[in-house]
Amino acid sequence: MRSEPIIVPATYKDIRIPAERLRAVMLADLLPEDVILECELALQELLTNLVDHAYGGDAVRTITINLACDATRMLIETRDTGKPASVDLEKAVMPDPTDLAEGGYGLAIIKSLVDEVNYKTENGINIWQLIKYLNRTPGKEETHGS
Amino acid sequence: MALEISTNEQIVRIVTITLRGRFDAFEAPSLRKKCDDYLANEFTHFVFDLTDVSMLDSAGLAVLVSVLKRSRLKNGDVRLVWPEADAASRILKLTKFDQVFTSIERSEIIPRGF
Repeated sequence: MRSEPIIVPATYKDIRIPAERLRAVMLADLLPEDVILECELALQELLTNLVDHAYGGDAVRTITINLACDATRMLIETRDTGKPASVDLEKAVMPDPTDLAEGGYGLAIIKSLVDEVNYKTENGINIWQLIKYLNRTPGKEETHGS
Repeated sequence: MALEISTNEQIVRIVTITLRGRFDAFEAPSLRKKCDDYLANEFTHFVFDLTDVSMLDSAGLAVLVSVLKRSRLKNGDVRLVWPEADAASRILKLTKFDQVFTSIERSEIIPRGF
């Protein structure tokens, strides 16, 4: 199942809309609540990062979200034309909570909630893909999630 | 020898803030402002009742961490009443802040607080 692209202004309020749509798509596919929850939280963190870092709070800009679900995986893809991300996905780790850092959690949270996080730029468009596997895959003990 | 009596009185300002609904990047600034005001008014101890928070993201968490950090600078502390919804407790667990914040039961807020 693939949803129509969702285009929202890059504001904290408007990025709630794709999460609601994501839930509807996943419920329609009868996916379990814990998987839906993990995807919702991952999407929320990603979109918040885009509002903050790609667009720096510029509410005139938009983010496009594509959702696709099949028998094996949930794919969440975002496209934006903001500042390219300068992140090393491999090195994004959760800050030590005892340091009481107020930021730097987003990407690490996303990585812990989904199975794959991919980022690339194409013709000035930043493309993020989050993939959640829905069935047992090689090397994974759990039916879903990480 | 007469009994020596020494006393030490303290007035501690405690505020309990009860949240209901989504506590995300959209809502975080208003709570941060409210907490800024309490800190400016010498409140040092905060209880956040998260029982009815339906969803918490890292932006909401950042507000709680900020208040914890600043209250500790004033010899204060922050306690949390744990959220019932998984969508709210998950971020606290993932970031391991469940090991940093002291949690209390909702029933403990009034009689004990700290």
